[in-house]
Amino acid sequence: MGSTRAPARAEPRTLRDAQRTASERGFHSLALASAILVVAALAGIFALLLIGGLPALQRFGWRFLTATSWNPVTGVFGALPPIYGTLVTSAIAMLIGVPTAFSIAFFINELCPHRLRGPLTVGIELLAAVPSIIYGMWGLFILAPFLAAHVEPPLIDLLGPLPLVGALFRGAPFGIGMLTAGVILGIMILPYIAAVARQAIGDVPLLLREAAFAVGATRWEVFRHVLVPYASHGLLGGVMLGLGRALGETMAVTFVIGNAHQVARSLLAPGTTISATLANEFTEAVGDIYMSSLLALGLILFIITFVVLAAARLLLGRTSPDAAA
Amino acid sequence: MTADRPLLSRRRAADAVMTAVAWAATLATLAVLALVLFVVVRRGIGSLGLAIFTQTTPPPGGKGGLLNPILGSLAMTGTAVAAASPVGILAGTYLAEYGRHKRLAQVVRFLNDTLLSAPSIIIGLFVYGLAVRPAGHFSGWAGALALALIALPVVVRTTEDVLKMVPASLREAGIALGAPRWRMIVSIAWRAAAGGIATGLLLAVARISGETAPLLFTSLNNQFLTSGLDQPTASLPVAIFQFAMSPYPDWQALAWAGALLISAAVLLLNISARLIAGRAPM
Amino acid sequence: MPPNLPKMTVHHLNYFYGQMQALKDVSVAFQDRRVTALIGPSGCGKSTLLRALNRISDSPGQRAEGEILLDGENILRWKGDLTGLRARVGMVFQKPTPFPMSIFDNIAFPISLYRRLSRLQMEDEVEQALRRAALWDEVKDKLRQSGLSLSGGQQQRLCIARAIAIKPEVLLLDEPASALDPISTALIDELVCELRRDYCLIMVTHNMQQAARIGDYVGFMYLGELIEFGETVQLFSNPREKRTQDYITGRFG
Repeated sequence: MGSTRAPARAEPRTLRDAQRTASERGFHSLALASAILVVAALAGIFALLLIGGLPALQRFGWRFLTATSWNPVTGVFGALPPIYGTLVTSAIAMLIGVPTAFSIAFFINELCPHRLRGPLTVGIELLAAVPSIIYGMWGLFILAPFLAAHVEPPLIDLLGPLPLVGALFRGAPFGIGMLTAGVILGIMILPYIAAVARQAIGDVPLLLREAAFAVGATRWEVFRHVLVPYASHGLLGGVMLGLGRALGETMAVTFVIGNAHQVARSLLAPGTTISATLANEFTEAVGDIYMSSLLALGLILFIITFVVLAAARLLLGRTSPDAAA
Repeated sequence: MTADRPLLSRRRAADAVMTAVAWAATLATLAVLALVLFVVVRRGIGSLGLAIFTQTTPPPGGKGGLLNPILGSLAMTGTAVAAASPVGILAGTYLAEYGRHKRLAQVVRFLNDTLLSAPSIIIGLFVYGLAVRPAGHFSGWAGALALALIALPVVVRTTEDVLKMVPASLREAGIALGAPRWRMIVSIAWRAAAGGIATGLLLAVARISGETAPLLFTSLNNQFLTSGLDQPTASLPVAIFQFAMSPYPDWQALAWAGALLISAAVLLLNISARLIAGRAPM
Repeated sequence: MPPNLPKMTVHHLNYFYGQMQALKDVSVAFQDRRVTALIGPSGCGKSTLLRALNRISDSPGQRAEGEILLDGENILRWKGDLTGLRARVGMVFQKPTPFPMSIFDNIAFPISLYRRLSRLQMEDEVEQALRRAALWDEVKDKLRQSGLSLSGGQQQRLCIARAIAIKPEVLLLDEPASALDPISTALIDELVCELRRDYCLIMVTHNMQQAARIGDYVGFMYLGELIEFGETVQLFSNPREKRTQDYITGRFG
């Protein structure tokens, strides 16, 4: 916007002018430096993790990504179990969170009585703000025992004997494991995705919605065939934001995952995630290669989430609002 | 058009089914989330007493309260916001006022949004390497630094967003008076956006007051009351984590009391931020 | 021009948005195979009347009293599913509203709501609709492209094609050319005259020339009332009401 640009500056002629130019320059530099600090922080995080993780990555090479042993005594570390656990729990979370969040967006925008729309929207957004440690505690004390007593036994009985799928549901119903962690994550990211999805669907022009009703489509058809495709970028951005959170979430998972360095086929088995491993072991890590392996884990998490979050931002299209205007 | 009857009934059935699914999903979600809050309130209130606010955390097997974690959390959160606010407001001001069309601003905006949702445990690792390892010990300052890095992108983003909503006419009026650009920003744009910026600060406090992961490697924990931030410092979230994972019922009760305090604080902060944002002229 | 049987009849319609009354005791008959234009200053209720005819703005807080008959059946009494009503009363909006899908699917989607067709039959139906909307030649080579890739005038003809693809009996047009350039407007006008042979067309317009050019009947509305209704020539050359005369001579509005 040209209107916000300062008028062309004349050469400072008097002392007062000189002071003014100096103060303007000072303020501008201060603001610029603050902005650069944000970049520096992110660059610093990457550099520190890279430098810290390098010894482990050099020692183990690509095997770091594929090996399953995690042995502080022998000093042999492989990141596959936490990477596997991170991906599996996030996948469970998305399976639960995404369809539910979209259903909520459908409900709030299309079905719910007008008067409930505001309170529901605010409620969902407030729930997205509840700290993850609360969800973690609730998972440990309420959800895990509940799943162990009422959900996992029938799952084992019903699905366990099946070929292929059955392998995911075998073992003992501990309540502590990847399934519980995934469910908690799903509950936690749900309000996030729902808030973004509600907004994306709500931003679809009224006229387009009416046009879809005017050809005789039902509410579900309008949502499914017109609103969702129209808002697809925003919706996908919300999904990626949720995924980014699920991948990096620490506390909600650490309580209930069981912290076992293993790649178990069964979802009911305990496992670990990158963030849970870091939370549990970082302060107790002795030995340079142990520490370095943990930092390398952090680097992997950072790269995965960075890619996911960058994709989310590009889809949500906030990065260059001026380019569009 | 003469419609295909079976097709119409199938479409109606699909609509009815999806409507029912949406109702069920919403009600189930609300029920679960209400249950989470209900459990926190019920168990939290049961263990909430004066001792929570007057006694320090107990040794194993002993009795105690949450005084030192509460004070530690307040001190670190306060320090973090005090550090992040000026930097965040200035950076947001740069993005909104100086850098609108600049490539650099686009990069900063993009990275800021990424930092906004980056896993907080990564921030903890970073601050460990930056401040804890060189100093040789955990400290409240390191914890505050980690929290400040989490609060920073929240402040940057809200500041930029609200400054962009300040009408151009106000700015032009300031410039037309012959005020230098920075005077215009400070006395006109900032003032017009004050409500929004305050909202951003409150949201930042809300965001960091529940953060646990970044404190695990920075401020660690401390069983005792400390007089400054240069030693390991207790915080509510870490105390909750420690007590909840313990096998002792009275420690778990302390964890629930802490969980209630944090949930109440976070929700209150969010609600007041909304009220301020709703009342502000923007 | 001898009047046919009315396709839609409105009897003593009162329409409320909450406390505000938008239509006051409106009674009017819309003839089949004719174009009826509704004119009047903005806020006069002409769009409200149009939107009541297929109940597109059915939402809480809005209330209609009176009768709207479609072939003698009161559509205000229809409960629940309005799909059937909208299959018979189509609508084209002020601004082009292509759905976020391909040009082909923009037409095929509404058809598929009512009939199950083979691929070939569907292609045939889509082509027919696009031909009737005078758009076929312009888009036949890019049917897979997004409907949003078309120009504004083409988008609006796509929406008309979409509306007639489901073979409605009545077509409502809400200022269909207000967002278009003069050439596109002329094309739309031509199209409306062409469609008159098969449909009952009801058009809201703020453009009196357009009403005079293509309307068989014209209704003048003012402050929620239907002030005067008659054949176009008669209404424009010899209005009965002073308010109509003031409006068409440009003295207000």
